[in-house]
Amino acid sequence: MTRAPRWSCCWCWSRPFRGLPVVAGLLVSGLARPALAQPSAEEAEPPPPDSGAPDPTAQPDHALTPPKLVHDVQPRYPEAAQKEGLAASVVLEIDIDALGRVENARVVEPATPSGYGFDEAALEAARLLEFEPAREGSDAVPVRINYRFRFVPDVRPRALHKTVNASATSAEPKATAPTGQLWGTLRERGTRLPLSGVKVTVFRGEGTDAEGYETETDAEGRFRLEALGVGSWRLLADPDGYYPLRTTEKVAKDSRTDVSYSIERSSYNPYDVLVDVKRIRREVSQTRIDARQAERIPGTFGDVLAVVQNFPGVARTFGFQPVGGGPVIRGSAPEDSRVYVNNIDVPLLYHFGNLRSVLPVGMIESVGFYPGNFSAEYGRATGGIIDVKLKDLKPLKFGGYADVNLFDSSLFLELPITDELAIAVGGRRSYIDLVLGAALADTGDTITAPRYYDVQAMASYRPSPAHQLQTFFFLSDDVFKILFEDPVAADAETLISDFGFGVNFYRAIAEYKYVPDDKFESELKLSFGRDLQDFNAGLQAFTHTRLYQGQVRETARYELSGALALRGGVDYLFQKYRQQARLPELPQEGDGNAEVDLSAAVLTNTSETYHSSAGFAELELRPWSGGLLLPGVRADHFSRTSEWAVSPRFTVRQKPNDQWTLKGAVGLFAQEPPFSDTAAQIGNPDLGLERAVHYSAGFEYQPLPHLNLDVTGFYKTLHDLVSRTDQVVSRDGEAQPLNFNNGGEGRVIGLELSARHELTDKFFGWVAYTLSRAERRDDGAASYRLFDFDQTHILTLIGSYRLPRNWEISSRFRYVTGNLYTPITGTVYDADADQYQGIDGPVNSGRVGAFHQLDVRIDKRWVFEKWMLNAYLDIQNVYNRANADGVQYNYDFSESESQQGLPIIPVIGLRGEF
Amino acid sequence: MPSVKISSALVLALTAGWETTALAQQSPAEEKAAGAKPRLALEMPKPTQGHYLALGLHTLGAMAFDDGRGTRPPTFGTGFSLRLGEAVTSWLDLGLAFALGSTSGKEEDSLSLGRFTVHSQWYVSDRWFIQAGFGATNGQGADPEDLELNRGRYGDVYVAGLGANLYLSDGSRSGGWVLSPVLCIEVGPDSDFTTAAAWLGLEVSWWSGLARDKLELPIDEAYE
Repeated sequence: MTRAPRWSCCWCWSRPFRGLPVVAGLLVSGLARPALAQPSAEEAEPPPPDSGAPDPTAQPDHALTPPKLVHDVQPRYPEAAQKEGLAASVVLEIDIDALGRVENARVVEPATPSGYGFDEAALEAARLLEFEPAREGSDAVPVRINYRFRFVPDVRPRALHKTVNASATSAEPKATAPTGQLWGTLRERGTRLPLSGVKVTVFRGEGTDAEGYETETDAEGRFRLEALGVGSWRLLADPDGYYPLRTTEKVAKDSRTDVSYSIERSSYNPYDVLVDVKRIRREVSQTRIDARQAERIPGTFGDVLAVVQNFPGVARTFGFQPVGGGPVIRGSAPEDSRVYVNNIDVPLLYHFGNLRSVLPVGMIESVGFYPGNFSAEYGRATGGIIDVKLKDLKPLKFGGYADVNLFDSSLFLELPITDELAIAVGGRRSYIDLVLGAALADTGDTITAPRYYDVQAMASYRPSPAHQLQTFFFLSDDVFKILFEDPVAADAETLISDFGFGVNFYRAIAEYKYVPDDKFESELKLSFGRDLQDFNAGLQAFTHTRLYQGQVRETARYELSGALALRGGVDYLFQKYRQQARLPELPQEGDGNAEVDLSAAVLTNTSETYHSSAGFAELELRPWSGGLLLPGVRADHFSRTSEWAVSPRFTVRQKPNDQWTLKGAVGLFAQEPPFSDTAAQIGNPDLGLERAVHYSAGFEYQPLPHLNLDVTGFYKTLHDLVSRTDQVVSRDGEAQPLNFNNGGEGRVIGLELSARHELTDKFFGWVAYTLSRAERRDDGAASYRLFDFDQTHILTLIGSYRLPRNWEISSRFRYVTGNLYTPITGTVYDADADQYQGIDGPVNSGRVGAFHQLDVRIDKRWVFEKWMLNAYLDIQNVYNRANADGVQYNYDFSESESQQGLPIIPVIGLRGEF
Repeated sequence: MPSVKISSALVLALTAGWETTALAQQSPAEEKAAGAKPRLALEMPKPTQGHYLALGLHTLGAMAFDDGRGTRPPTFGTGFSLRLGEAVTSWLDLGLAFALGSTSGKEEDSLSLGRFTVHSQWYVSDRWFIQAGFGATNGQGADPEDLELNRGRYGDVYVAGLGANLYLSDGSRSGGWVLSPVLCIEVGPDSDFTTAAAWLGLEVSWWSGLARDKLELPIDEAYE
């Protein structure tokens, strides 16, 4: 007795290699137990990259299409086996030629038990099979597959005769039998998203009574099984990548049974939904990371923007970073780099201490990082650019998250109002002040430290595919304040009773994006914001700063042909700056161990309005195969310095083949000096622009589909830097100290190397190494000295690996050359103040020991019916390295010891998502 | 989509528990080729599946290398441990562990130890496993030069151990109770105050087991 073999398929990929037959592992099996028929993960995943096999999604032009069975043949069932009711399976290796014919077949997994003729029957049948040939692209190619025949004894011959080949007949329940309906909904467990296109099968009975029906869920995850016989039915839904739904339902006569199921995905990888946006690379050096990837990196405590500190070219900043403590990029001071949110300038990226950023992960799509030679669309900076791209708000359901960790708690909600309109809100509040306040209660001091909060609101309206309007508002507030029970000495002559500073800023951004076709796109952005900065050290020194800022920005791109596109725009920035201050001379970069003399504080009052207008244009030329030329120019006018800055920039990229890219760039960059340096009396209102020239060259190499190497050498010269001077000038008939001039210079040279393993099913990671030397020459100095943040070697290793059951382990290792300091080479006893004063040696001539640290992060996600809980343990400084951040001296400077960084710190955080 | 009748052969296959294959046969080859994920391998039931909570009682031997006061000789005492986590694969458990213990003896030699670690348990056979972990510890004892004061450290700690599982409940069910004799060693290295300890004890663990949809079960149980 023969049985109609049923078969299922799974395969892995391989493409022809120099004309040889393709060897593809196509497993075609008959009815088999799941454990036998299921492919192992290794079988079903793409082969290892070194096999030369491409990712089919990456190279669609050469994708391999497997052979398709067009003529099935039922093997004869060995008579003796049928009589004894024996079942068996046989796996054959079959060569299929380019015409789809079976060229050869051999047994690779013989039947058990042997001797009944299963192998022979399978070989006979296999030679008669016919396939639609496998194809690579459009070309038919020969392949080798594995094919399994499963022999199932016919225990109910009559029933089988009735139903063979009846698998696609319409349901025709017996007219006389009582029936009912089974309606249901299938959703994904945890996310509540409907599952569409999933087969739902019901079955029951044995032998002649065996019956079954199947249907498929619609876009809303709904399915309907009509006219089912009354009684119990077993129900099965087993979509790929999900655990199976297996349950029993009862159908009652002339009634409808409504059911709702949720099934669990094998892995709730947040990266599964990543959208790879193809961008034209306009920069020689660019790092872009998706938000959901960034938040898993150890040491970030789940904060997306903290990942910037791990990019090549970024120095390790240390200690407590108050306002303005941004990243040090390629040897540039923190204030020389700009932070943008959707191309709109924001004053700071992080709350106090650089631990937490001012934006929540729920609203961030990606973080772009441009350490130098950035496009002409960016300006007003001589260092680097961090551009945070906000999420294109398109929620499928009402959802969000609540996050609780050591530092703060946050909430994020998003809601689709209509198909065109969606909104999202978020907020965060820290409670470090409460913890520290309790810890320091015994000292008698009152501390509000550091307390921060931020709130956000976003709305997106897309009336048609060509038009999109998005608004975004966010507010950030940081306060640090301490009241001393006993006033402390700020310097030799001054006692202060309290100390505090705070930053509060908001931005309201409106964007209109118009993309009528694939040749033209336009983005108009309007923003308004206010920055408040307050500082006080008792009554002796204070600042109250208000900055109102408005910005209009229009960018358009038109593609004239495949070889030429033009991109250009205008950017206008309005600033109204007000400051009341009582400040002494503040230490600048390169001042060594200079101390603040509060008794010399000067009272100033500034109120000015500034305008900064810019236009930029850039061509995208593809004059030859693989070549991309990006000549651009940016013209800025700054009313504060009454200067124009015309900044031509040029980038070239050449791809000699799919794996290599050569690149180079040169460009001019300019920025205004900080407000504090142009303030009257304590600064110099006549300061001019600071300027820089960036050079960079390098190559990118992609040896494997998921591996990218990037080597970039850079050289940067800095001109007209603000530098301290002892010169005196006459203003309004009075001799006044000039304080600062544009006499400083700088140069930075370095090499960045990064190797990045893009996200695959289980792993992502990168290595970033920077070798650099950053120097400055102050006004009047004969020679260069090292820049305060010069760090010769910066090495960062990051890896993240996903385990089953929604576990993920990530680690980060960093090695950084030790920080610079200015040693004290002598002392003087000040009898009046009754204290020793140190005498500085050469500025930045000392260096503390190297910094190295390992951080580990473990994430675990629990999936519940309608929500998910993610817990993480972020362990900083796993091996408790006593890293030195600086040097401190005893009272007479006769002894010194290092200021040590943080010890091992385990931090637990929780996030609930729904 | 309207429902369609399926063949009796398929129903028989489903009834025989071959549902994965039975359904897979209906997936067009093209869909598979488009990168569909592999069907999931279900696990045979066994006691050490799912989440676990383990409590242990241990005897403890500890010593310290005190750079300022010399080596403290080994002293002995008791401790307890608490572990919680999950069987990530059939050969790896992952979770957190807390342990507290103290030794008694001469006041200047005795130690108190506490640790919080990431804990892993690697199965080398059905029964035997090795443990490895790292985390933070606090180890301290009386200052030999002034017993009113404490000396010690807060820092990193590393743990390695060996143990075996004795199943107290039905070995063919997913989840249940397990008794495990365990020997583990911990070291907290430091330039000033290094601690080392050996813990020998018994752990009783409760395992939640896996949900039915993750288990390879007989048809009647699978569709309960």
